[in-house]
Amino acid sequence: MENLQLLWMGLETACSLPNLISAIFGAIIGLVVGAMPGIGSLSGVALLLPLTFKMNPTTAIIGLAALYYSNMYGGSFSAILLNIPGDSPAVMTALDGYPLARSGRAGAALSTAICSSFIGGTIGIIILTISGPILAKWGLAFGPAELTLLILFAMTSIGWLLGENPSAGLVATAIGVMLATIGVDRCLGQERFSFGSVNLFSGVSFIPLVIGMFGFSQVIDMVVNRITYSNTEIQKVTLKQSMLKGKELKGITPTAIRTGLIGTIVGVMPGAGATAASFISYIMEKRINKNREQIGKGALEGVAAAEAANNAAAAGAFAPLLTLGIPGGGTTAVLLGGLMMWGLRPGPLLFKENPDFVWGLISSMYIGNIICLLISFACIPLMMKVVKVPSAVMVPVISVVCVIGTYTVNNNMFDVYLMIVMGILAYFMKIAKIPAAPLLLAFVLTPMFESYVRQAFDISDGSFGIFVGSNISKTLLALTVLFCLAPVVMGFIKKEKTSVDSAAIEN
Amino acid sequence: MKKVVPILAIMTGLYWVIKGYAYGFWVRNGPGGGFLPIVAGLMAIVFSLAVLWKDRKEKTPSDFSWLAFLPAAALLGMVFFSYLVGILISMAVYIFLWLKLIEKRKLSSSLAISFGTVGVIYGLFVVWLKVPLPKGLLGLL
Repeated sequence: MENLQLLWMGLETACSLPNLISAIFGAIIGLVVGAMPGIGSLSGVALLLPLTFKMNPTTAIIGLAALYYSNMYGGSFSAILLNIPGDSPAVMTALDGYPLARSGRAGAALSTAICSSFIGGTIGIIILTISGPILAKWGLAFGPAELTLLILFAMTSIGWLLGENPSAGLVATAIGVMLATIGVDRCLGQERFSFGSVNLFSGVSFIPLVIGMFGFSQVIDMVVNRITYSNTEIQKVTLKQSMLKGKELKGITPTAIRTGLIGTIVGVMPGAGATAASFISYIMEKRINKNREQIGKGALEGVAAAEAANNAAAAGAFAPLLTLGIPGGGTTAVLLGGLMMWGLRPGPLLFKENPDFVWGLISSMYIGNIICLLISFACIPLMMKVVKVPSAVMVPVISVVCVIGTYTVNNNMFDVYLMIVMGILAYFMKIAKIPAAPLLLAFVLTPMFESYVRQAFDISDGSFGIFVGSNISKTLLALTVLFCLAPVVMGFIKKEKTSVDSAAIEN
Repeated sequence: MKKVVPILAIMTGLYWVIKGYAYGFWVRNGPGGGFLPIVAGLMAIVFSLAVLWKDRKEKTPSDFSWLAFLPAAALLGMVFFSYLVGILISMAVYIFLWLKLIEKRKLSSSLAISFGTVGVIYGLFVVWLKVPLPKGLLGLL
């Protein structure tokens, strides 16, 4: 009941004119960015972040959050119409969406994607509304030792969950930690790794790093892997053709609800994110859905599963971010960086100290989700053109946005050079199949980790016993060890299975 | 080229460990300034070696292309040019030249995209956000 009252209070904040405009603006940009192949929510949020510096934190985060989940709506357009997912969470959408479009049912596929995104997103937001205050209350029991272990758990799990090679994820994590240690140590006042440069005294700036690694690296990617869509035939779809029949809507609703629930749970886990959510949900539906034979060949249920899950995961990722200050993925790591720059400290106390902000954001997500639904339907004809914008035009435009967005943070050209270097680093990481998202998460979490670990040792007078002093610590420690050992055990089992199989074949 | 990042990570990791040791690993019952640099440096060395070990038999050619340096070089050119004419003019010139020379687009569309983009940037950053953008030597006149 208290949650409902707070939600109502938040609704008043969310419905103020600047916040509504911010949500609509974020939703439109997110839809367009999501639909453009190759530009994901991370790049979108990173590029838009500098524009929000002069806004108040609530208005800014409402806009960026709207961009994030609207991006999930947009990703399905290019996946269905061109067979090229706008962002990685839409990969599974293309498996059924494109065959549907080829068989003349692009409108139905788009509607299914939009409706399922709405259902999944709504489920995610409802769960966030209920679980947020519970998680925050639970989080109050966290002292510096528990928070240290929680961050350690988040940092180790991302390495395993992102990418096929766990070592590659951990290399990225190590690079992120090393970059975060540049500059004056905030606790001890000691200058570290600044190489005598005044520009590095306060550390590597967050914005140049994010824009370089996730904005400019996309530009490099577009130049290297030149893809043109201008000759691709796109089936014209009108709003009338897109309307789903009652039977079809009835068919996709249970799928969207099921995968919405799964997606939210996956979204809450650190590092898993929307891509893993849509993948897991799709695989699950392929096993249990009534229409499972058709999934993968062009079934509306396949589109519904992927889209409901990725939107639910996007909403679910806000739960650990707001309540524990732990980002669930790359985009939420950028949002965490933004929150810190605006002087907010996400964590259990945020719900107590800044209820206007937290409940304003959660309420705005309900409104934003409705805005996304309406805009997505209304923009179907426009999106037909957006998905065909050639990368040739995008390259110089995104490049100058990267430069200006980076420069305006500190009015310093050094940041622009840093952004270019980070973009090149991200490109080489891609070549080596080293994921960039763990680097970002480690970079954001390291200052907190360093501060908590010192506080823990100060309290315990240097004793390691503090890290096994409570049940929460023990659980987190066990989970961390489990996550670290899981790939080794899995690799061993896989190896054993392969040798048993080859022995069976030989016999 | 696949090995560039792991090798770079090993070298940086080594430097971080050596410098971290000088900052102090453990100071007065707690982690010193060198604690995290040493841990991260060691992680970088160990896991980069693991990546290199895993890829030792990998024969597939790398996806690397020298074209990757083209956008960086073009941006650096734009930034250096901005010291002379200011950032807005150099951005307009950069977009126009990229579209005309590299993408071989029509003169009219190149001009429209270049002026349109710079116009939006001017409206957002100069008019709305009041950011003082560099005007270069031209601004001194």
